[in-house]
Amino acid sequence: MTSQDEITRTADRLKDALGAAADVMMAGDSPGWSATADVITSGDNLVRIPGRKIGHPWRWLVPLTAAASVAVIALVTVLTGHPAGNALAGSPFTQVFGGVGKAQLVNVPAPDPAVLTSPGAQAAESRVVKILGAAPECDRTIEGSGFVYAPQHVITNARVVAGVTQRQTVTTAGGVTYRAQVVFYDPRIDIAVLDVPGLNVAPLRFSTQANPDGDAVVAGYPGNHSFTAVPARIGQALRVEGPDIYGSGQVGREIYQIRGVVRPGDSGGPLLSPAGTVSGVVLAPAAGVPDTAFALTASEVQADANAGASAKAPVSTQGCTLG
Amino acid sequence: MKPTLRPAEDLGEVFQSHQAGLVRLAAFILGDRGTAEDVVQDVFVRMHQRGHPMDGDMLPYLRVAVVNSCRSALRRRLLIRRHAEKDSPCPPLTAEEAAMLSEDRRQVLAALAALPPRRREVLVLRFYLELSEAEIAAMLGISRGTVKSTTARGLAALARALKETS
Repeated sequence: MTSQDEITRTADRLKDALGAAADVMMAGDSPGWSATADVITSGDNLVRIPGRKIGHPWRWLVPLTAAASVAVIALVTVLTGHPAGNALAGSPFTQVFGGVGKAQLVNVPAPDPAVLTSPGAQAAESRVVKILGAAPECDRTIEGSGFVYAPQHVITNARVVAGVTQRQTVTTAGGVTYRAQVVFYDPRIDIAVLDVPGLNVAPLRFSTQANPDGDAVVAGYPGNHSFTAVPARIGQALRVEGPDIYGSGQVGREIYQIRGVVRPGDSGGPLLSPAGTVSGVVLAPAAGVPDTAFALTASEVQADANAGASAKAPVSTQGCTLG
Repeated sequence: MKPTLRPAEDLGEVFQSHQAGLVRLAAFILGDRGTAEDVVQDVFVRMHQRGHPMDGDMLPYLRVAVVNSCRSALRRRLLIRRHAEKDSPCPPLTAEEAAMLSEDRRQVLAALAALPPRRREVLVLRFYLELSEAEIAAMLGISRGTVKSTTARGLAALARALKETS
């Protein structure tokens, strides 16, 4: 006989296994591109490079329509905010994120799932958007998260729009897609701002007062899933020196170490307080350290946010990130 | 004031947003990636041929189309596992992908892949897409009661299978 407890546990295990399998499928050698795709990890992004295979799996779609569709088909999707390979776990000196070593991490108590039901955080979730764009020059589409922080302006990580020149879109929680344009781009801190004409969503506000061990919510669009909010806890604020998004130079940034399940595609989304204010901008999971991730603090983001809040003129998204 | 909607009028854009996610959905239901790719591809080709209007969020419509096509594929027994998945302990993952998962998760996925297709379909919609019983009922054109009982039987079968393997 199977007890009710066992059924519940089986359901949880199934949910967990399907989620993990989807992440692996997303990150690895994905169908539709090529059986010979190479996976290159670099920094904290994971990038798929299309293999050169004759008889492209999407050949039937090629006669579809205009060149535009064909171009999209040839692209691979890059999920921003993927950790560097899990194989790196080993030594305490291992870098788990640009400039952060494993030894610098603190133990953070597990998040409290009740934070998801706080009215403030729930109200904030409708302001979180999915960001998608194509960078044909490097054969990829890039996908990430962001949120509305000023009228018709969305903030995200620079890596989410790096190198994008076509089909830059923002999709709301309600499923409406808008064309968007990058009007501010800072590859050093890793912040970009998009102007989204017609977007009528009330902005979220930043709050620079986050408590250590404070409850938080990570909200975003991991992979091609629908909107996802997961409980998190802020561990500590760290001042770290690391390379910019192109892997060059040294940039000082203030980041939070957070405990919570951050997944590929969450990058650029908000780290929400229970009151619904933004404590930080989610960057990426720690490589090889489970349930640990990083976010830029609200104060680190402030200057960039102000600079982009009313910008209207398109700026260059420079090049794609490495890999 | 109503926002100025800009519907995704372009099939390429809809494709870009949803193709990969839909392939994963189909792969879990079918237990086979190659067929999953074909199924999703056919859905997009049919949409194009019929000049389906692109308005609002296309995802619910696409999911129904993909689930229905998976059913036809299962009926026609098109499932010929691609080489890459043949050696995998838990299709639709490849052996390399499976190696990245813990033993526990592999066992769960293998047990899921061994279930009868109807049960697998409902479990995937319920626990991968996290749809409600009502949503699944509407999607599959069956009663909520049937969704409930199929889910319960599927989970019980899964629990039994897992008890045997562990």
